[in-house]
Amino acid sequence: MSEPNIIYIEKADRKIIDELKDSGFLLLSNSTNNQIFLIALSIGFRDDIQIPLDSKESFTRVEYLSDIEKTVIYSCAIKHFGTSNILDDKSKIFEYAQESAHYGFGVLANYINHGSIELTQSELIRDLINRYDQVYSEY
Amino acid sequence: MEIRQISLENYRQFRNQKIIFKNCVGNNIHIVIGTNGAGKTNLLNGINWCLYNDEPHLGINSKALPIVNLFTLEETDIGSNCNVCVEICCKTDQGLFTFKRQSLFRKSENNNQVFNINTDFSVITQFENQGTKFYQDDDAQKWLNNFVPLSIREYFFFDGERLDNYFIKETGSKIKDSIFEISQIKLLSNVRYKLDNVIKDLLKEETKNKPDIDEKRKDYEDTQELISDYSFELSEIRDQISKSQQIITECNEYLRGMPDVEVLEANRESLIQKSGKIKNKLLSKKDDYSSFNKDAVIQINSYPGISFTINLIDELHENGKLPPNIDKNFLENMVLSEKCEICGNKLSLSSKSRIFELIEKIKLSSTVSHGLMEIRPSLRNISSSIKDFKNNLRKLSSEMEEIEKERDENQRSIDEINQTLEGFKDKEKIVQKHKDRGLHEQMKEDNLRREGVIQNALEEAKKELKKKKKELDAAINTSGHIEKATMQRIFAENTREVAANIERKLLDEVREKIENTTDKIFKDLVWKKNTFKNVKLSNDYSLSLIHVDGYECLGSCGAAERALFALSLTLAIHKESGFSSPLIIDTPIARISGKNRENFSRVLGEVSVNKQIFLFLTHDEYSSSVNQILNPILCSKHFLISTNNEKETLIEKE
Repeated sequence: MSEPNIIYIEKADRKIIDELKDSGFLLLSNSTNNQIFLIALSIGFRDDIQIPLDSKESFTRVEYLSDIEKTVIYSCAIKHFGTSNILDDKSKIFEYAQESAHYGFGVLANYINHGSIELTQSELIRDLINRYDQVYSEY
Repeated sequence: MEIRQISLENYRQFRNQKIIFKNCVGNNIHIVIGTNGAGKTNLLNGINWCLYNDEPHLGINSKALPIVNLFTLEETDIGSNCNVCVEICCKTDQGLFTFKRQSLFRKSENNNQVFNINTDFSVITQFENQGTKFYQDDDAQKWLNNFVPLSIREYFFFDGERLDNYFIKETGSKIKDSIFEISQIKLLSNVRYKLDNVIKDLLKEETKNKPDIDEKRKDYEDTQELISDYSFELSEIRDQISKSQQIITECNEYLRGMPDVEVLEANRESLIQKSGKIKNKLLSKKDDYSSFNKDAVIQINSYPGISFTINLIDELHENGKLPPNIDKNFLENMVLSEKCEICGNKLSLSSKSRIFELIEKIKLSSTVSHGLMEIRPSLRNISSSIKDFKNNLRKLSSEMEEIEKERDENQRSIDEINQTLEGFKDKEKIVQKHKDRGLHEQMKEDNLRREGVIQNALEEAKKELKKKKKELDAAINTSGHIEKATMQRIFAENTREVAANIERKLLDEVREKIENTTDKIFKDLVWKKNTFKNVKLSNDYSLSLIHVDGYECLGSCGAAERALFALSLTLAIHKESGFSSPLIIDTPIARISGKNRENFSRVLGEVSVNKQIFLFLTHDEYSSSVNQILNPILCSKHFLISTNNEKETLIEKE
């Protein structure tokens, strides 16, 4: 099976990415596309929701992912599918990643479209601290 | 003494004009009203020219023109003469006397150029039972000196500006000169000066033909000269100190409660620069904070996956389901070279077979195992960085807070400076005053040091003089009998001492009188009755006005109060000098505004009860409120009307 070399996003999510960059939220304008993709993916993973892509467009190349970025994608997929054997099927891993990110972009769009960015950011940090306490004690 | 008539013939814009000032009961106040350029200041110049043969208030335009009236000049043929004449007729208890200056000018070939052929100054008296008398030269001068001597004329005929800036321009020594003149002690000082010369001559005679003693005399006179030089230098230095002190006081008064704008501006500039640096620091910290949070979002959200995978790998590893972490190529190379790459020994057969086993195991491992082995180090990194999440978040937040605090404090300082500076519109003037004060403080300090040095040298020289005098006297007296010249010299020396003492006492007396009279006049006239404590004329003749709270307040007074203070001193000098001549002021209230114009006009009205006053006013100065105050008490009102392209001015009585 040939390994995928492109990561895709939902076409409509491109607009959300641009809005995220313009909004000043988490200073995403200074972030790489990979970083933004991983934030969205981690949200999909957190909520365990994946939404299939209707109309996809290429976003970044797999070879551009750093070791850490690959590690995050792989480990989320392993946990989701409950087995390390998923590493044998990279297409499935990236499909999972893309669908999780698609959901995550929707959540991020919600963040920036409701209320002030500063308040949303503070809320996000508070939520992050709570989640940290939770996951760190659980795992 | 009152002025009754002024006649001007061919003097500047006055071709043939006469003003008659009638006799008055009560207030003796006369006003002349004219627009700018109509001739008010030239009327004042005309009076000065008649009396003192100069025109101290000549404007730039007038300076460029000949003294002869332009129309008269046009009508005069080249090479012909024209006459300029100003007469001032005064009335005293004895009768009338008239000052008359007449100059003959010849028109040169250069159009409108004239040159003076001759000038006559004369005084004509018309006293009861004495008929008409005519005086010229020194005799005429004597009459003038009885009217207003040149040295103090600026207290009698002046521009209103003088009232405004009197205390900036006048130094203690100038006031001292005026007091010297008023005290009429010129005679005494002349006596002292003449006695000095007599003593010198007598000493020369005493030591004639006695070379040893003559040497001592010369030595004594040299020391006297040295003392005189030191005294002169000391007086110059003190003058400079007094002037510096005056400027410092004025600056202090002006700057009371005002900031050092220059320093504040510099501070503000440096705070603004700092603000830029803080802003960049904060931006960079915010960047760090955001970057940290972005990573944290990814890591914390995916932590269940990270943790799950780490545990999975550990479990597989423990069960031996993962290949050892060895590079397959490394093992293959060892087998080919038959040499251990670690210890360098040749491989034994058993070692070789063990290596083959390992290579086989690796070959058999799945892409899954490889994938897991590949992500294992990153998983450990993420896991360990997540451990410090809270500490790192706290550290970054507090660093950011610190920078924000620094930014806010910096901004507060900028706001405070802005607020301080906002209230002061004339920032350049404040800066200049600070500079002036700094400069004069330095000058004063330098001069005080110099004063000390010269004072010491003077004291030493005086001691030396005494010693030399003793030696000289002793040498002169060795002959046993006192010669006639010696007796005369001793008498002259005693007389000089007496004259000097009287001179000192008189000066002190007049100074004290002027101080008291100025104080009384000022307090009588000033409209703020509870603001000022007293007037001080110090030993160095510098004037100060003391606020009821005890501080010097001349610099912080308004223009009207300063003018009133100058007027009070002027009137005190009038009174103590014994010269009852009139007071003529050109544009007296032009520099005073608002309500104080009325106050000052009222004061001038009050003064006119005891003194004849002439005010030359612009229409603007003679406003309706000033008119309401002055009109009921006026003796006469004249208007200057400019005609014929401003070449001629007519004087018309209302």
